[in-house]
Amino acid sequence: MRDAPGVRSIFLLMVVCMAGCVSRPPTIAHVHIGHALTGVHVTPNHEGYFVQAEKRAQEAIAAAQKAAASNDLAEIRKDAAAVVKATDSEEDFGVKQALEMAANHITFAATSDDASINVQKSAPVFAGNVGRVLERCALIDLLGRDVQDSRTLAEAQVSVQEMSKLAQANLAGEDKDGNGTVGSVPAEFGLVQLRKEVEAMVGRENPKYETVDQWFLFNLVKLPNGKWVFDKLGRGGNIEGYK
Amino acid sequence: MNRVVLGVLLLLAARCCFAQAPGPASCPPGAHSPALDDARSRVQKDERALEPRLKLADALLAAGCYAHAVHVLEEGEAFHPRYGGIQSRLRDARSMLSEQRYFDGLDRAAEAAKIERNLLRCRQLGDLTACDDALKARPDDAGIFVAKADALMQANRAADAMLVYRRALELNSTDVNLQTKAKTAETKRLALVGECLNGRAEAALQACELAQLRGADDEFSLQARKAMLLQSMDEPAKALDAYVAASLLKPDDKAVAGGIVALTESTGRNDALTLAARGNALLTLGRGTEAVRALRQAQDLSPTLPDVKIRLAAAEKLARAEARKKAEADAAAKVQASLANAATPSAPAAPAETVPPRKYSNEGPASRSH
Repeated sequence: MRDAPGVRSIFLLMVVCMAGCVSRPPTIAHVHIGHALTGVHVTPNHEGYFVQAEKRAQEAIAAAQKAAASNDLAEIRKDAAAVVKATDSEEDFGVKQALEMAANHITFAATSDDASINVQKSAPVFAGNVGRVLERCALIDLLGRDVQDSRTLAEAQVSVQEMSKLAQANLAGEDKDGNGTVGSVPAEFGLVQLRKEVEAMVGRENPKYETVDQWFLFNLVKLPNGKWVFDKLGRGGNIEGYK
Repeated sequence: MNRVVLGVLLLLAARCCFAQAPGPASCPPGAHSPALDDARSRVQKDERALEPRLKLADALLAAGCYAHAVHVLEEGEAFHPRYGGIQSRLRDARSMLSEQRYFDGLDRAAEAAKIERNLLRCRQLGDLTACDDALKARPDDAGIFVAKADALMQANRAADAMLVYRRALELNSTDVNLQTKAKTAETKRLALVGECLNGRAEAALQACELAQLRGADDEFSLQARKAMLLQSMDEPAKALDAYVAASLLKPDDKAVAGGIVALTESTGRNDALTLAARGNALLTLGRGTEAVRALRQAQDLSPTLPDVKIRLAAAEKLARAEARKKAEADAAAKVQASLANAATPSAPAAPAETVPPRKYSNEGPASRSH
């Protein structure tokens, strides 16, 4: 058989191209982490759950500060309602819902067959550490109701002042034990400290965690047998219940 | 966004490989079953043996002891670092542990938020309902007791505040600030006692109510004073209640008994408790027969009234004594009457003119000695 230099060159070129142009898909675990950190198809602007939580926390702070500065009961009520909506809203991904979803997805990551030991060990810690933020969210919700029920301006102001502090702490953390360090223990954590924790987990990954491409983020599905796979054939996106 | 659906999904995702349904969310303290105990002892016999360790891990997972299962599997991983059965179980155990912590955290968060909200309202708004709700959740928290007592002081309820400060001191006896607060409350209460005993009308009445402290030396005085004030303010029903309350503290006080008798008559109240109080009051006043009547009525209405039998027995004894005295008095009166009758002649009295004049011994001829 005659060796054709042209054919060989084309073959070599193809091999080089395949090696250079076709990247390996991310691990399923990393895609779940990507849903928390980078993007997911169900949030507004398709941002990651954690990003969504941070944005909503900023909105809550702004509304709470406005409420706390007001001397008008009607205005305070309106702003307090906005704080609650940004913090705890099923329909609009409040801080609470977005953080719950981020925690869920990090747990999903740890459940995946390809999860590293690092992710498996870090997920329970993270799941335990979101508690204080969720607690503040629940408290904001209760105080928001108190504001709506307040009969006097003074009564409403007590609640909104506290809501403002809580909204701030939800983002930046707090110094509950008075040791001069904000977020020194999980009971003081805000989203800032939780993000650091996730980023630290991601930083320990081997092979290295790369920002996950949008296609993988939006096309991860779970089969009836419990396995997570990419929906390469476009059969209809994510199964019900997985967001 | 449905948390329940997500929770179910999470559980299904992690449980698919377990033959048995996992146990409760947290490992019960000292959890054991024959399978678990057997697996434990087999692992203790041979730490390196794979099969017993896997069985122990499965039993622990089935019992909901996720943290323990992770520990057992991690130990096994050290002996068999590349064994897939350990790896997959470890992944599942860690996942279950993660969920357990997460959902525990959610429950704790909701509960802790309620307590914090109640504390805030208790401390800053003096919302006593919120104080009580916080105490229900943390019954041994001295800080909440102090917050409640402070709220009571704000409401000028010094006596109630004192009790709550005392409870806080039981929990934290060395707190100097707390001791000072308790003393301030006592001083304020004494001022209210003064106002109650010496003041007039509505202000005095309010002071009595605010100063009233169960078990205090002045409890009876305040209650009796309250009754008198109410009576003077033309509130007979409330006054009667107050007198009855006072009589329970000091059943033999004649002034209180008098108040009860007078007010039961004027109000016409005839429920079992009031009748019993009236009976007791009449007994105190030494009016046995009337007491028997009232106490019998009370007993008929409510046979289980406490002490009514004893009181009734005492009243009946008194009534008998009264009857005896009356009988004696009647008899004495009869005797007197009959004596009087006996002294009167049965024959018709002679006209005055015919009655011979009494002869006095000194009647006689005058002599020198006269």
